[in-house]
Amino acid sequence: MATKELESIRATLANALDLMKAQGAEYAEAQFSTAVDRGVNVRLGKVEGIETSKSMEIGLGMRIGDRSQSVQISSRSVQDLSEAVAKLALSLKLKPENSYNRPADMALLSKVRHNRSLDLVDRSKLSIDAMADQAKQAEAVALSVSGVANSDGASSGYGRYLSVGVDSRGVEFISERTSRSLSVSVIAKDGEEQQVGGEWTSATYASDLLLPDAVGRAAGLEAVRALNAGSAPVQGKYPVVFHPDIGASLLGHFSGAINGKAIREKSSFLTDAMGQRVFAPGISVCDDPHLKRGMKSSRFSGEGLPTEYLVLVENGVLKSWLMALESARRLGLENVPQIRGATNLTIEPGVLTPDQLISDIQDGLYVTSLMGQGVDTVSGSYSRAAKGFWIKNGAIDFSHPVDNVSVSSNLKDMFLNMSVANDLRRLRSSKAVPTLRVEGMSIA
Amino acid sequence: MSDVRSITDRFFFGATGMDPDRVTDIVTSTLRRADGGELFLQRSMSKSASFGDGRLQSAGESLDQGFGFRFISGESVGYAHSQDLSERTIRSLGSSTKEIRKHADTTLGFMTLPSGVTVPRLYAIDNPLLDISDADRIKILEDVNARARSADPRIIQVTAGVSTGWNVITIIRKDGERFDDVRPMSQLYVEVVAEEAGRKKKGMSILSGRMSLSDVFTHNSWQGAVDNAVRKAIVNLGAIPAPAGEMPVVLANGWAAVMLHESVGHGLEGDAARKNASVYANKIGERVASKGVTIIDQGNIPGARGSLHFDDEGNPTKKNILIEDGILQGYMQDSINARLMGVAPTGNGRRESYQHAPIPRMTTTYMAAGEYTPEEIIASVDRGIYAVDFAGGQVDTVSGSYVFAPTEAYLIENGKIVAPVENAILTGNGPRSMQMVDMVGNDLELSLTGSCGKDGQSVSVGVGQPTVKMRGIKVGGTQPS
Repeated sequence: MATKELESIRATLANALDLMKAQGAEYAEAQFSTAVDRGVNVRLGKVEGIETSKSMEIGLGMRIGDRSQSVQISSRSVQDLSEAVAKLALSLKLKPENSYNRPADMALLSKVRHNRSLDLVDRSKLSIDAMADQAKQAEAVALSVSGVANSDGASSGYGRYLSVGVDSRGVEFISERTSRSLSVSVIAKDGEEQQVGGEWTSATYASDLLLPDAVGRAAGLEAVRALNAGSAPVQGKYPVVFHPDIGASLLGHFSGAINGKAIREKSSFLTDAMGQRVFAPGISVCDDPHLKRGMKSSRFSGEGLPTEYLVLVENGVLKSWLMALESARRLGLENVPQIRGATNLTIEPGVLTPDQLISDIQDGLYVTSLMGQGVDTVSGSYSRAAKGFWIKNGAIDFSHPVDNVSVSSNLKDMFLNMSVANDLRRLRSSKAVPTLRVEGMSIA
Repeated sequence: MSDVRSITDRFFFGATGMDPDRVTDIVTSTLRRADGGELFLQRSMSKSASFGDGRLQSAGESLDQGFGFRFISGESVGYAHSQDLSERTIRSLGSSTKEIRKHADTTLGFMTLPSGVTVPRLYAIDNPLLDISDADRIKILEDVNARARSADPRIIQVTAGVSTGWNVITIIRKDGERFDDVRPMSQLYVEVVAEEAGRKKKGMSILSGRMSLSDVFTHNSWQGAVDNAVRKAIVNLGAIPAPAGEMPVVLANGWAAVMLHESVGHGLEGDAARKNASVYANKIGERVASKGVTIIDQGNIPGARGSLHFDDEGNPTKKNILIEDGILQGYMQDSINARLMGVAPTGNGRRESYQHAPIPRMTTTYMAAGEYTPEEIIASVDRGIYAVDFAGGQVDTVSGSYVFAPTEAYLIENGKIVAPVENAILTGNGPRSMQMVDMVGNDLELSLTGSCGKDGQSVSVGVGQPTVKMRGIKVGGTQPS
């Protein structure tokens, strides 16, 4: 970034720290984040919208004795900052004492305070015209798939993000990253029936995106294949196979369930599961904060602690929680590696190809889309509506789409009865999984 | 509105050093060759406190302000936004929106929009952040926590929160007309976890409205909200597995209308209809629901979460009948989609904040009352589900498919409610389900809560309905029937 911009941010942050110290802060921290985003939407070959944004946010936190308080504001005006700090000091007095949420000790802080080694900034230039062309191309390919009748639009975007955090002990953390994205959504029609199909790709680097043709073809095929969907042949218990993009939601439920706050509040179905088998043997869940070009990579946590590679589940056995410093202190679990949030989380791949993983299923369901919020991470009960294809005699039957099929089980049972294919794409998303197979889910 | 203008003047001009006449000049000159567009100024202030684990978890205030600048050219939109409220940034980012003209292959001429409309006041202009002191807010949460924990020994966790927001906005349109509004919003939520024999169940309750927090408590009792959350969690501890199969479903009055919102409402938004991306596209005048089904979206109900004096483009909100006695009457429109479809805007052009261009959105969407008592409706069911509460739902507006997971539901047998059920999910197709409405109750109730997401924008909405019975809904339970 421009040195001038950084100097101006540092001056604002120093002023904020001074304002908090003047209000009696014994410890103060301030973080300045900026984002620049541009996006183009096209529909039916025409540019429908161009969006430009420049945004910023300042987070302020201060501590007096064992009371602390924080605030976020989106103005850097001197008057708004001093008003915000004055209110912060007033409301701090209302907070109960809490020694657990004091900042991390200096000695524990990460020595590396930037992410330059992680390759998180794509400096290639991308014009609005080039972005529009990519979106148009992806849409054109999607519309060319036989049976696709309409477009819901395509978009291309980039963003550049900078965050500078300082505290009253003279510590400074700085992080910069970029993101690029392309997506398209089209509609297939057959008589009165219409179905939508979409595909997206996002990455830190433009060169890691799927190509527009691949994005368009996937969206078109998804829409056309979903036409004339029926229901599941007979209700009962079947193996269910999740497309990687859909299976990633199961990893999301897992990361919510091992969060320290949920464990502390006993509001997770994994509260008492540390050291126990929670996944099928052979399955590992890992979190890699140092993944080059990873969308959530960072050398340090939000609380300034160093990050390292974590095996959360090893061969099916739960090995680690993820938690904030306050939860760690309350639970008496102050070993540093688990004191952070999830970064680039994966269920590690197995050895079978997706085809091999499915090959022994006589009857089952291949899920390409899930709807509904019937997931309770307190009890683990799981019940959602799925869209996809029936699996017959060891293969996905694309001529037998199904829609509105309810799949239900309990996350505990689903994790214990899971097997995995070898098709993990780590840079696909910050929560990435291979094709997943779960035995014995109720289908109706 | 002169009192309102003194407030918006203070925040947007007094405090920033901007001059209202010069800013209006920037808007009108930047948009000189545009079909339409506007500058949207916003200052959003909020205050919240949350309680959990038996103690205060967080309490604080936040401030977000900025502007959004929109340039409309034919079917295309250039949009730019920033938090920097300065004439310089409005001019430079505003100017960047003109780039859309290079890409738009037509202009359709200047848009004409309603002008000089006065509307009755729907909510107070007082700053709701000054309404209840911080100490009293925390006291309310302590009382909520104490009441929930003492209500039943099986309650093992209570989380609760109060929040109040004040949204100050000014819109300056291409034609120079200025609109000002100050929009309050307050909420109390209570969530409890009950545990018995290793089973854990949640219960949740929310009170909310476009009003101050003390007005929320004048209209409703917080004690009632706590008791309701506790009751739901305890009821669910005794839930049996839901049956699976096709059966009648009775939806309770009030919040269960979230199903109506998702399965019908989204398909009646003008953008989906214009782009032929809705199952309701090109069906005006056709029967799309059973006789007796009338569905309304109304943006001017006093104090309702979805209500606004005018929408985020400056068009006045009103009562729009979408479906009357089963026949489709019209869609919810913002200015752009209304013009492209040759109809008038309906006051449904809304945005989450200055960071987004407005799109057609619901306000308070409800089904009008019918003739049956709720008791008659339940008594008419041999075997089915009575669904009272939902955590929310989802719909695919293109195909009409919807899915809802009730968080409070019961099995009906021989006309009587026999037991609570868990893991019931209701799936179906919105238009088809509306054709299967058998009985509409006489007990219309508007719910006090609701937020809706679309295209990455969340806005506050309301829903409502009387008790409604539908034939042959697919219930996906775990218990084969």
